Amino acid sequence: MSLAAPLAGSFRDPSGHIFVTDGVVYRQVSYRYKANYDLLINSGFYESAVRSGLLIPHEEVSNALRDEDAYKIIRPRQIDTISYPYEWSFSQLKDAAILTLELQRVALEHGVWLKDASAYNVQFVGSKPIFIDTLSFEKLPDGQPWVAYRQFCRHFLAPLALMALVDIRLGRSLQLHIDGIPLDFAAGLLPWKTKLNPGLAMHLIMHAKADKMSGNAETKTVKKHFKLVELQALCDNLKSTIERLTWTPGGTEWGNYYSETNYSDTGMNAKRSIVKSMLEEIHPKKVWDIGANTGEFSRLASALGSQVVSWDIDPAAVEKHYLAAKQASDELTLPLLTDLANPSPGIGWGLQERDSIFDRGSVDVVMALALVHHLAIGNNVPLPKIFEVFYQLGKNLIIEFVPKVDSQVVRLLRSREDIFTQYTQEGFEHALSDKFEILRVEQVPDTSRTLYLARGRT
Amino acid sequence: MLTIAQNFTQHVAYIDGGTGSFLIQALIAGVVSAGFILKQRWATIRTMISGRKVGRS
Repeated sequence: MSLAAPLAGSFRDPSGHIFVTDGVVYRQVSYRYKANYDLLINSGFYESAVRSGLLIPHEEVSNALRDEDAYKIIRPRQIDTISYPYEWSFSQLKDAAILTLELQRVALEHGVWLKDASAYNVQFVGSKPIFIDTLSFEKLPDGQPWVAYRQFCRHFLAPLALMALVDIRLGRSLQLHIDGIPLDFAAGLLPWKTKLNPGLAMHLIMHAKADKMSGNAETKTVKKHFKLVELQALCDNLKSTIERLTWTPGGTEWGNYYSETNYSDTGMNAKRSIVKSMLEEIHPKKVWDIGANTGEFSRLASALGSQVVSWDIDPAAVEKHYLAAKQASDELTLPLLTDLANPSPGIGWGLQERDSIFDRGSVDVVMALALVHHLAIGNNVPLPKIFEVFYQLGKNLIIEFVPKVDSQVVRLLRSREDIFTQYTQEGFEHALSDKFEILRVEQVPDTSRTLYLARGRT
Repeated sequence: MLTIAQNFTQHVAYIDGGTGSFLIQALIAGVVSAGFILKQRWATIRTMISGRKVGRS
């Protein structure tokens, strides 16, 4: 192990930090956190939380760095792809919220509590959420209110309420507010009927007012000793408030794509078979399926044992994909709400606190099926620029060319001038060949579409 | 004038819990605790009843 600096986003909590050495993620536990770390282990909480699948397991390793501030160095189970709350569907954020509260419930039973409740502390192993910040726990202080309550409401309750009751796309506003959505902002956007929901009225509307008023308040001591049962009741009420929030996908852009597409059964089966054989040729460890919709083709990759991140811009498609993956206990596929035309940027301090999605690659195979016409015609991105980005993202590319005679392209061009003179099969192959070596070309039977397998030039 | 609970903030935390948040928790905890205790007791009774039924069968 060689000397390694903390990760750029690991600086808020003085209890320790994350660092990466030789591609492996470690967590330094500082002496400052010694008593709490020992309690975490000796109280039985760690074992209980790990056994229940709530908390990430770790092993203690030697302090080869000779870091004088390090009480312990731990190596947690490695997470394949880090994702952020603004990239999650409604149910992903809801499941992360419930996981956090369940962990707090177990923690309180063991005389510890969560000292922070950031949504960034939850990650997904495929469709399974898991809490990754081992240093987020401390000895339950006597008689205190929950210090992370406001953070929990900002990171989870406010965005979930906005997504369920105002507009699903408001989940993306978490990207603008790195420490969660301000409660007064959420309260101002929620409809009046929110006041009839006791949980939301208390935890959001009244909470926002109390927060605002306290800024102008005169400080005075009031005696209030919080009992354990009161903390348990608070968290139980938060949990049932969140469980009652629902959002049903439907009526959005690609929600019914496969049932409404112009593919015949023959064409669709042939496409599956060709994509599968192309994947088998590469045997990728990691795949990014861009424009994955509900994951029809992502499943071909995960069935071969690949770790798949499935990007889509449609909240309904990502939600349906996640729910299906969750039902199948799929730990290989991670659906994410991401737009290739406007991908998640680096945000936070120095633009490095949360990585851009490009910085979380590159992968063995990028799949771009039924996508290129949306980029080239729908978004006016020239073909060479499209392939520059695909080249940056992955070593190999499985891509589908959709010609102008295809009904989907006809639809895109129906209400606009066709300025896309380069958008021909010849122009496509020419632009592709600049960055990639074409390995296979397969016409999809019963369609006008063509599938390509290409390898990035070195 | 709002009176805030200064003694809540004595606990040393690395994030700002917010004084208003501490105050509203005191209020909410008072409202929801009785219901929570009843819910827990009801769950215990149900477990005992279902345990007896399983025992009989």
